Amino acid sequence: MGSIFDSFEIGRRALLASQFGLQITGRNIANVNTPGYSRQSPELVPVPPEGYFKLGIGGGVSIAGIHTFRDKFLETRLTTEASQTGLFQAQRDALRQVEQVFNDLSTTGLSDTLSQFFGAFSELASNPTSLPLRTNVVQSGQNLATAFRTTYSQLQNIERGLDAQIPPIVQQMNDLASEIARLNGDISIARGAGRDASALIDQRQQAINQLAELVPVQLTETEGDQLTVSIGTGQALVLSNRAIPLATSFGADGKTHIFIGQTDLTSAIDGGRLGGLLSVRDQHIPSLLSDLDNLASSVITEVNRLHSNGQDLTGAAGGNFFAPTNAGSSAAATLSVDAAVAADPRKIAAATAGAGAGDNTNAHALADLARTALTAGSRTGTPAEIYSQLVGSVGSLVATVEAANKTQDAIVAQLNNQRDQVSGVSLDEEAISLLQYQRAFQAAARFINVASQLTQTVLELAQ
Amino acid sequence: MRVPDISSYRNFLLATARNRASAARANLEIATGKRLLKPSDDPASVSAALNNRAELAVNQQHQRAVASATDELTAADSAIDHYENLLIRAKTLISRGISDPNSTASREALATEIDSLRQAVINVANTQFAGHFIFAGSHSTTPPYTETGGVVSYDGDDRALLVRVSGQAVVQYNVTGQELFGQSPGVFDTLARAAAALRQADKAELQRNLDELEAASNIAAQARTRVGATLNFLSAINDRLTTENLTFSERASKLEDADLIEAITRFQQAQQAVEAGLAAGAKILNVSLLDFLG
Repeated sequence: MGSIFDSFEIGRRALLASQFGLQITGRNIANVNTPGYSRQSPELVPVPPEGYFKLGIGGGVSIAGIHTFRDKFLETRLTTEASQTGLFQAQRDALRQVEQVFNDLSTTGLSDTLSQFFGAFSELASNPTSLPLRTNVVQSGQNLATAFRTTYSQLQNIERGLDAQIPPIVQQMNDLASEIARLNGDISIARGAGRDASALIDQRQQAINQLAELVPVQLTETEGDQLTVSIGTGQALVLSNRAIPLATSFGADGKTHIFIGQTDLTSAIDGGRLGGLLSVRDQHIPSLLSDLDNLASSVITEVNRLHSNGQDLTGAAGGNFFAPTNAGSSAAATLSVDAAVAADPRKIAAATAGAGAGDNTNAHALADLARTALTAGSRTGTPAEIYSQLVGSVGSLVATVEAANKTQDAIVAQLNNQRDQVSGVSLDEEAISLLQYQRAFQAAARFINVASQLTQTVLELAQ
Repeated sequence: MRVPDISSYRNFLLATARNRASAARANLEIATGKRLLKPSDDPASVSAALNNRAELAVNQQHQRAVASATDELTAADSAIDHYENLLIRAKTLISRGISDPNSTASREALATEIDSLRQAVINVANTQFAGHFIFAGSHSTTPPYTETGGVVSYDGDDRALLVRVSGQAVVQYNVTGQELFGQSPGVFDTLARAAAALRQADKAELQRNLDELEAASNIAAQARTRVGATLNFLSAINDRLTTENLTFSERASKLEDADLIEAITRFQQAQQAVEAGLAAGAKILNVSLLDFLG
């Protein structure tokens, strides 16, 4: 049996515990909308009896610490999925721009100009000596060339736009890395001082998720809740409380490269927003550019081959219709009607060699190119078919990425829900806690009141 | 199961956004009347729609080629008609010369008319249409028949000018001088000799000339038959191309146009889902245990 004054101690501790519970409940309520906040509850333990009394009832309640509801496995999943989300979103945003370039359904694009170009030759075949029809052929050729050049340069502009987004993202990554390093340091200090580091860990987790959205990260937990963050092929970005800065610079290919120290990470980054930008910049757009080049180049080759076999209105042998592409240049970007033909439409070789000026054999053959299967890179078909395949492939690419985004949104929402089942704040629950601690506080106060009355009674005995 | 507040809000937002997105999509289809607005809407259909457009453009091109070939051949046909009438008149005059060679004056009159008929035939042979000579083969920029020292020579060639009028068919839209007037000197020489024979009352020669003109008529008739057959063929092709145009337009509509009834139904469904979601959300999200604790 303890002394009657022990009751005051029990009451005091009970009041403290309830107050502590109320504070934590308040904190939970305050953070109900804080992203990444993990809810907490007080860890209360009964105080064991002291001394040698057999019937000791102990000293009431004591605060052992704070419990944070956190599922590390789910947090890791969320970090990984953040990279996927970043990747798909960046790809979607970039490819939507690309898709707009190939939106031939709503605008006059390459597919119409291709039809018109071969149509102009067909029309010329009906009246090969007509100068207006010859001018029309030159004009359609120029329109086709312009359409190729425009499509090509629009893609290049998108590529440059994507490239320009890279340095700010790298800057953001550096900022986040510094923040993670700082938080690593703070956590270590808090741990050393025996303080609760939960808020710092939540903050760090938030920073890591933001970083993971930009670039996939590999996390290693070391002693004392320290996180090492690596990117690329294992290059450390954050080592304990130190961040290693990334840098960007223009490469020989005219594109922005990402360096950590002397190591070029550009090709090693395959996820996150950054990876999404890089994949569109370095794979999707270059592949479309080369598709356009292949198509332009096979049109140039075939048209010129037929055209130079023919004979023009003046009886001279035909030359090139399209200016041949210079070695090392892009066929699509430099496509133009041969200067001599453009200056004098009579130079269009509508006739076959040796025939009269009014022959249409060659114009007929050139018009028939519209129905001839060509090979452009890995694609075969008529020029219009090759182009529509190209548009179809852009469409599928965008559709796939859009679908991936939708799935990804659902996955992330599901994971967040799972995480929040563990870590999220429920106001209903907190309302009950509030009530619970309030009542406990009232009861403890009442208990102290009773103890006080008892003491009074005892004191009155002595009078 | 714990339902943390942040999850409720997140789920509510996500579901509302999803419903709103499908409502907006349906609305867009209704407003534009199009199902395909960008390639990713349905990549396979977009490829097919572009191919369809290209085929439609080719088809329309074929129609223009048919129209142009029809014009050329109609011009040739009327020239041949004129030429045949000239031959008939010439044969009549020669026959009259054979049967009734009365006075020198009347024979001279016949001979003079034959001379002018010959000039008319030369004119027909140099018929121009749309700025080119239609009986010159490929040398259509210069007159094919020229007379030097009383001899008419052909400067054209025998080249057929072909034009594609459908995926499978190519037609010849010209008639060459040789096809219509036979090998040089041909009909021009016959007429010159006939005029001379009339003046000299050379019946045997006139009889020969008559036979030669008869042969020329046959050649012209053959040429005209081919022209007529081609014109008929072109007319049939044109009908088919017109039908095909409709088919292409229908296919384009099927591929590209929105099914309005379906889109409106979808819009209403999505709209209802949005409204129901909002109504439920307004009730659920508004309620907390805190409301009931005094």
